[in-house]
Amino acid sequence: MTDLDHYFHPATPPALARPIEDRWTDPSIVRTAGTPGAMPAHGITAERLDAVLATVLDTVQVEQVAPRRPRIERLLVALRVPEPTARLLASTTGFRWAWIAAVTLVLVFAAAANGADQRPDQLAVFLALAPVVPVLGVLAAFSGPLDRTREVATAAPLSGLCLALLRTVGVVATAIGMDLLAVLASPTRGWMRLAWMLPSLALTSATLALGARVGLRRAAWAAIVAWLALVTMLGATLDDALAPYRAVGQSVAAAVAAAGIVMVLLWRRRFEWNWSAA
Amino acid sequence: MRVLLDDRATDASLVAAVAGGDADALAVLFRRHAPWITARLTRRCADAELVDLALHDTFISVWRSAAGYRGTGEVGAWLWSIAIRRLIDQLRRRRPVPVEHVPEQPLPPPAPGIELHDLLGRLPADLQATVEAVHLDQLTTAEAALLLGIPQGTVKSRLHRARALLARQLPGDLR
Repeated sequence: MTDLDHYFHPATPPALARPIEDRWTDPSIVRTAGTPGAMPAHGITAERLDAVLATVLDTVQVEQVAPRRPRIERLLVALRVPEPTARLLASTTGFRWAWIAAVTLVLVFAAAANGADQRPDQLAVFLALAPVVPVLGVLAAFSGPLDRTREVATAAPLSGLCLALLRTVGVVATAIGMDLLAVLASPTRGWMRLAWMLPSLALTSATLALGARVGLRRAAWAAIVAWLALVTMLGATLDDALAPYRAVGQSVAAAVAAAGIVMVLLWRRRFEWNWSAA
Repeated sequence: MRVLLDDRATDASLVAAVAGGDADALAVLFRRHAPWITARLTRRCADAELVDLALHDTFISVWRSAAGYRGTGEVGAWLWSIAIRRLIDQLRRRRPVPVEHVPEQPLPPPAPGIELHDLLGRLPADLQATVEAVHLDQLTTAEAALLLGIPQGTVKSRLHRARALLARQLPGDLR
């Protein structure tokens, strides 16, 4: 029996196999004897190894030619998002750097314009704009001319709701990130800076729920217009620009958000027809 | 600088060339190391198809992550740490095709060149395999469980028993 027979014998305990393995990689031995070659007597033939090498080199060649994946897609894959989902998410308009940069800039200006004197009506401008951002993101992700992946998405073997939710989650996550960045730029302190969070959720879920009935694009515009009209009106009539963001307003927002989510679930079948109808 | 791409090139210079996108260097690295990697994988998984897939994935990983090789430690050890994990990944996707049970015939004594791995040799074979997976191949309990085809709890209890056995045999100051 040779060393290799011993090595491959199932009854050989690791204590006897390990020293053989160590010899294959021990630099002092490898320097003189080299690494072991094929072991045809034990099924490791040169042909078998060559076949694996050929597929490795094939893959490598494809990667050399193919463009590198976008950074966001690689990030998503690293976060264990399945590759096809990552591609779909990464190609959503809301993830384009130009889009992200432009919207962040607008928000930061809106937040920073709320100058050192901390006038409430200027904070109100930011609070009114921030919840619109995720809805705009959803709108951009699903509106024909802006959506780079319209054809791909239409043909994707996913249910309409699944697709809409998937992209919405991605878009809303970046939008909220942008809003948070803008908050950092704001000189205001205190919880009021975060008062846009519940309205954001409410507006987005309302958009989705409404989208199931009338198409996402129309729903998004309706939600944006209704929201801006509402806060302007409330601020003016109550003579307090921040009125819509205090406790009562937040509770209403939470209720709208919850209702929206329930309606999305109830109307989920309608997404099959309506999500792309806009 | 163009590396000399033949059998005399050192492992480290080959990895550096791979990091620079040199597919030929990857091929040299493969021809040099694939046989022993395949042998070691085969000892841990008798399903040749899974082993080949793991080998393929290993060198794809090398191709993609060669730039991350820090140059500390042997290239061989680095390759093995990748290969054993790619095998675990394969096992996660698909259970290996079971091989016919080989009756445990008594082995003739090993050739004089082979020495017993000292510490491992003090343990029964099933404990040896567990200690090898967790401590020598540095797998997590979950990975070792997959590799050995036993529940995680069994991996833990075997490790516990192995440590107790070893502790009893070591002189007091090493415990």
